[in-house]
Amino acid sequence: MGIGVGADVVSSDGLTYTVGQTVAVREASVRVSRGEVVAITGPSGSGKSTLLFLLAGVLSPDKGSVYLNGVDLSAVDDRARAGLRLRQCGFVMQFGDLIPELTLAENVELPLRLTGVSARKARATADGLLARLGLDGERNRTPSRVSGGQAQRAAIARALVHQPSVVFADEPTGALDSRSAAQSLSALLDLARAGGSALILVTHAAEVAAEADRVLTMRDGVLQA
Amino acid sequence: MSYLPFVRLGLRLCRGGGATGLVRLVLQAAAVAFGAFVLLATLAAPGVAERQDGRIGKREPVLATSAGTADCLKLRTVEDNIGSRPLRRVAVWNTTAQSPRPPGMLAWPAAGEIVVSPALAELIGDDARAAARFPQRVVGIVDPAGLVAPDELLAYVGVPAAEAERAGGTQCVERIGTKIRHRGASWAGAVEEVLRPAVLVPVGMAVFVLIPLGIFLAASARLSAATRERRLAALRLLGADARQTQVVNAVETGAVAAVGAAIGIAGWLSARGGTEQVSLGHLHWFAEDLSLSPFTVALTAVGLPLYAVAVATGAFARLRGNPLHAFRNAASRRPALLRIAPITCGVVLLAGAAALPATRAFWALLAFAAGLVLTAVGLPLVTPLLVQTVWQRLNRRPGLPPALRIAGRRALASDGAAARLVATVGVTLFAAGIGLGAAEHVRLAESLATPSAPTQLKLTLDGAVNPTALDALRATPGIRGASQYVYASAELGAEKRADVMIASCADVRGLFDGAEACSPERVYRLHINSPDFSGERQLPAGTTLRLAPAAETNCPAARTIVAPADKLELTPKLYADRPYQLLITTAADCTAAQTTTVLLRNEAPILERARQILAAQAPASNVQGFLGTTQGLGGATVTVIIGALMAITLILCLAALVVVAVDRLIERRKLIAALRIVGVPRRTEAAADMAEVALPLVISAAMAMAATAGAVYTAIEITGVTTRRFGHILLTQVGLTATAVVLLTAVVYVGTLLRTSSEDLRRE
Repeated sequence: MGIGVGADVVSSDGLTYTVGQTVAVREASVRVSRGEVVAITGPSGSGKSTLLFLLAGVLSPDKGSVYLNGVDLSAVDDRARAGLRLRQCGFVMQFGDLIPELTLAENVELPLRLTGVSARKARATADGLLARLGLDGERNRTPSRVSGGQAQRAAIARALVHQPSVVFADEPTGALDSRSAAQSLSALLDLARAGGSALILVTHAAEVAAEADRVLTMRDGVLQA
Repeated sequence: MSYLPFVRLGLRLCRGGGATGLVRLVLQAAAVAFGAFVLLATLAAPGVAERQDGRIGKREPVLATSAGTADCLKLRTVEDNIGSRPLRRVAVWNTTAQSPRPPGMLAWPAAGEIVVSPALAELIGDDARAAARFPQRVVGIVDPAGLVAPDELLAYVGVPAAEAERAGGTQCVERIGTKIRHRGASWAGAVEEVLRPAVLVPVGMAVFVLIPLGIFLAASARLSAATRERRLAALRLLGADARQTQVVNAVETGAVAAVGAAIGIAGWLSARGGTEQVSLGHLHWFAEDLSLSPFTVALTAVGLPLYAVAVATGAFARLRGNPLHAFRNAASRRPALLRIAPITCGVVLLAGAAALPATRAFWALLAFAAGLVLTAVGLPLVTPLLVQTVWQRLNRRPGLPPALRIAGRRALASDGAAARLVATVGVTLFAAGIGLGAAEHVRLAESLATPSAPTQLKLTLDGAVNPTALDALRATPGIRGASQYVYASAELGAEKRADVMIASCADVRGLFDGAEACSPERVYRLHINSPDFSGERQLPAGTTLRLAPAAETNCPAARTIVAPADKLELTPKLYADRPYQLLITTAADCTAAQTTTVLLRNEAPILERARQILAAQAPASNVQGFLGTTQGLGGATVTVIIGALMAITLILCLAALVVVAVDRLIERRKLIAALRIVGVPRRTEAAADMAEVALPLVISAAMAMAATAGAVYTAIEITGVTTRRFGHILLTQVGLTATAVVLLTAVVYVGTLLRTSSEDLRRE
């Protein structure tokens, strides 16, 4: 039986993940509570992003377990893991990774639409969120027609529109200038806290890590004490 | 969970967003539309032959096995031509209102009348040559139901019964209409064995059309592969499972392909009518001949989108596992070793076909056909595998120039766009080699079967020709003689026979030199000076011969003849049909002659005049001999068909090149920007891009040439027809390769010239 099955949104026990001959993550155990903001920092190649995606259930560990709201991800199939991600997780990647063919509004409402929320309700929710992030004038533009900061804020809105229990962010401000980065980080933190979502973010930036409730440091695949 | 939201998302993604998405949408739909058009045209082709055979069968007379009554319906068909157009002339006599008629005929023509096809009616009005052949009164036009093709030249000529019977009897027509089981090719020998239409059509369709079409459609189904993979990966991350992601992918690809297929089908249906004006050599058809069953059309409408979906599903298979590969630009998986299987099987089959003994021709043919198809399928499959292997080896070299290093790394990491770019080129080179080899084979086989153009011609007609026609022939300058004679086989004793000619001296002089001493109503022993009969035994004087009664009825002759001492040494003016040993001369022409021979100079106007006289004045005569008549699938027509197939292959190749090249240009913008940011010189960038395309091209071309060499060698082993022009085929392939290199490197170079905006640089 793993640890932290109780109130923890995400918990892991002895996670190990190997890429070829390299151990990318070694014996990592993490607990993240509801509404908690956790930053994972460390040098490049230390395994931060790999740990993030292991915790999100995108990667399957070679050893160890991950629990998402009490569900052992290693005990369910890919389909069930995908379903959990869709309903209970949000993702923000370094480059946003919005779907280029869809408008910002369509991108934001996508998690709702894919979970069966009606078009009208999804659109209303997405529009409200975009307006809150100062993107109401850009809602019908495709990602290639807006600035990097605007696209990243739309990605944040997409990650949080369905009020997930946890948001995984991989260098969410890494590709932005300082002003846009600050705006995006602020939006991410505000929305996550307002919705009660936990936030696990991977970052190099000390100022980003400083905003977290807790900072985990990784070095050579090992979480430092 | 319901798949409906994912279906909706797939449909939404079809519409795309921005100019790039629109270009991809249009390209993909246009590619599938073009593919559907080509596929339907190809699928319709066998139906043309089938329907034409059906109409030929329905008008074919079935002769009675018994003698029947004297006044029964009789027909005689003569294959002729006007200029280069084949002409079918059917002499008909003893017709009544109750006589069976072929389809498209309201009534039989009476003697002196003709019923003609619309094309012949038009030609008679326009062309003096045609008018001279048919002085009879036109009393009817044959409906399309009785024609093979709209431009067929066909005439039913009513002739007097007496005239027709004199030109050689024939059996009664029992009924009209039979089933043609196989429409044989007119070329002879080994090629007929190997390149029968039944084999030619499916193998030709596979090698020249279906495989290039498959590659072309696959290329179009994988447009914007990198962008789409990234987008699907984003969906996976968002929480779509592998199946839901594939639903989005399938709906997006399938919907565009379905629209494209519908456009292609509509285009084919509307263009089909116009194809009546098109011809392939002597092959023409009615638009209805190209009709396809609703099942075939439905299968195309469904099959093409399904194929596109299958390709797209396979293309993004790695998203089933870890979607992060797409975000991290992870190296593409090494192509599976299984890709080598089809070409290996193809080569083994070709080698097996070459090794099989001549007694197992059927199996050799089967192995050859299957080997060709598998080799063509295998070429594009194995290219990426070889390309990756070569790049991996090159990348291990520490001193590799930067351009090659960039090209190699890109090739290993990319989705194989470069390999796709050249895939059709390889297959096209192979198809071109096979096409040229087949055309050369047909040409050689036909030249072996057909003597070179002689200076003299000999037309042989069954029976006698009426005196008017005979006089007209004899009066024609350039016609050296028109002779009629009777052949009789005389008994020489137990199981021995002698060949006897019964003719007037004038007729003999028309056929032979050395007959100056010939006198009427005499009997001569003969010696025919001909290398063909050099070993024939001569008849000693005093030998007693008995003529069969049937021979006597044609011209007066004694029943029992004693070979005289008189002997004529005759030299055929062209060639003799038999080693005649005895000549019985008559006082005048044998009016009941069995054979009429016309010797003439092989010049078009003289031959045309002879045809006119025979057609107009002796239409019931069954002319044999070289008339330069081309019917059915002659070598020239086969060459035209091969040329048409090769043209389709080339068009598909170019279309695939355009589609992939445009896609590559779009996809490459980011990569180019990445290089510009770090200050890579444009020259290095261009060299890297060109090297990335050139290597697969060279590998693909080398394999295609090797495969062609193997296939041609196998064909030579099977047929025994040795082509000495193999070097020409390889040279042509080298030329095509060079053209492809120039074309592709030009396309690639243009891509590197694209302006990279500051926005591109910023985003990168």
